[in-house]
Amino acid sequence: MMRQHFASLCKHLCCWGAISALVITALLLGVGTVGWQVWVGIAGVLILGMAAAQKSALYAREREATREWLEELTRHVEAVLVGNGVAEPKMVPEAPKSIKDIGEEFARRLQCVSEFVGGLTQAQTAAEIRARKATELGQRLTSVLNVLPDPVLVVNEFERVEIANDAARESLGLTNCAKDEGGSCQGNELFRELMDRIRRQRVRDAHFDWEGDYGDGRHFHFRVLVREWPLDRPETSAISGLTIVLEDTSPLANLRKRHAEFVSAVSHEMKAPLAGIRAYVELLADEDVDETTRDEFVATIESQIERLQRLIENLLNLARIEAGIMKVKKQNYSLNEILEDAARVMRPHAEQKHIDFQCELSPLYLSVVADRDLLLQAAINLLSNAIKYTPDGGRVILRSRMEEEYAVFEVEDTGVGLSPEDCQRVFERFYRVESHKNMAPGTGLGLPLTKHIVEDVHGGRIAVRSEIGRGSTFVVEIPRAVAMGGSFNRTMSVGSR
Amino acid sequence: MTKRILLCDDELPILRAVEFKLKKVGFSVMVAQNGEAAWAVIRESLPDLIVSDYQMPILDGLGLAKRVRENPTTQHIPFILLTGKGFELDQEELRARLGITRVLSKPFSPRELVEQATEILQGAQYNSESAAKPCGETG
Repeated sequence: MMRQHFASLCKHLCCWGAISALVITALLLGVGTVGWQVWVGIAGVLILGMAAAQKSALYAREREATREWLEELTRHVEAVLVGNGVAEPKMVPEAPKSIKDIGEEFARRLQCVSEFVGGLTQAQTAAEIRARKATELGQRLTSVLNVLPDPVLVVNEFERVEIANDAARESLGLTNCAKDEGGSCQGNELFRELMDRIRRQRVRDAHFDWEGDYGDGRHFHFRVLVREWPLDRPETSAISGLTIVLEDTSPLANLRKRHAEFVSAVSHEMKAPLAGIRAYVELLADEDVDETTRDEFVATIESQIERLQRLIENLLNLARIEAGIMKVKKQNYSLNEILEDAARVMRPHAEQKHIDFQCELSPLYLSVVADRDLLLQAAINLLSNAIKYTPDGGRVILRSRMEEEYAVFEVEDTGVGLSPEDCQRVFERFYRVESHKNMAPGTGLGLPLTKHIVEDVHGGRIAVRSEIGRGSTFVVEIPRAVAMGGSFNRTMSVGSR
Repeated sequence: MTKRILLCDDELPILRAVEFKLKKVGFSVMVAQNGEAAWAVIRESLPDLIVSDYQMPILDGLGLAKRVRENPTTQHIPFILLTGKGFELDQEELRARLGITRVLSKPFSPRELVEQATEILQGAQYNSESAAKPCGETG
């Protein structure tokens, strides 16, 4: 705006100079009092004034053109910079003649700037792509870490937590400290204890077991794996940080405990009949007893041997299941006959406890394709449990019936009963109902084995309904044999579940 | 005077065999099939010796021993523990903490049990009315 005013003022001055000269000339002519020298002077002044005015107008135009060029150039430079160098340098507006050299130089330099800015922009774009990829990779790694069930921690040389997956945050309670306090989790008791253990044991690239309590009654059992990561600064010998993985070994520890309890229970189960056998053998050898007493002793020895044999059968069958193969020989049998055999074996045990043992077997012929020994073992296991967990003077009923395509048998007792949770878990291997442990010895083998025999070997179903203090009923359904015109032999392999 | 022994085991065959053997050598034998039933007999009859299995329903052998030791009228009675357990039991601790006089592991010999019972009862008789303190108890 200032330049425009200046140019306009120059124009006006030139015009007014010429007009003033003409007026003065006219006045002098009118007066006629001056000589030719004066006229020459006036003409010279007039010419000079005209030339000055023209020159002034030319400069004003050039200034105007320069101003416009500068304005256009400014817009162009802005476009180059804002547009990240995309404007072509050849599009730089042509400079006015008076400053053509400056304009050309400027265009050259602007081209350099443009190229430089373009390079910078490419570098920035590449950096942005790399940063985005790194972010995506980081997010992916975080997702992977968070999927891991085991707590994973990365701590730096100042023992500040740099990475903690969800499992670590949850199990060690690192939710706040890892994020809000710059990774310092020294306020967290469990984290402090863990770092103390790592320092104390001088464990850097090794592992150790860490057991303890969360403080709310829950117990933890971790296998701690520690790895150094001097990755960022390989030139320094100092430790840069540690990657710590806490492997939850509680299930393994529980399994070991249950296994130890199982071994103890098996040894107890074996020792009890062995003790009976030894005692009666010794009595027969030492004492002079009458024939009736001797027969009684021998019968007891036989029953104890049978008991031992049953236990060993259970153990062997379990071992076969564990090994993944069990030889099965199936034939057509009467379910009632198998159940009668089971009742015969278990009746003396019921009588010992004054338990009212009733058999309510179906009058129908219930034909099943079965491995007789295994199905007998299943029935004995159920009856044995019913007698074991029914107090003296109680009642145990063995029933059978036909139900559409199934031959069904059930064992009902008036025993101690099971909680809903125990009903769910009694078929797990080695599981023993806590409140039953002191009531009767057992291995936690019978029911899992029975379930395996019923479901996997015979394609049947087993279920339990129970009420604490009222008793339990175990119901077994075995598919009925279709008429096949005689018995048949079949050997099959059944893998473990 | 005939010595009276309380015998407690939930395994009926073992109970009958040991009862038979102890009676044969002249002891008077009372039987029970769980710790609670045994405790009722002990309080009422104050036997000279208790022979009890460890694992039993309702009240086990250790629970029974604890009750016997805590009661002033029964704490002097010697106690033989029969057990099918092995490595879980620290016999020294059982003697010190519960005054278990002897521990016999199953399968045991009834003959050996009779020898141990006789030895303990003779020792108790030798100490006569001094009311021998249970092992490990002081004061």
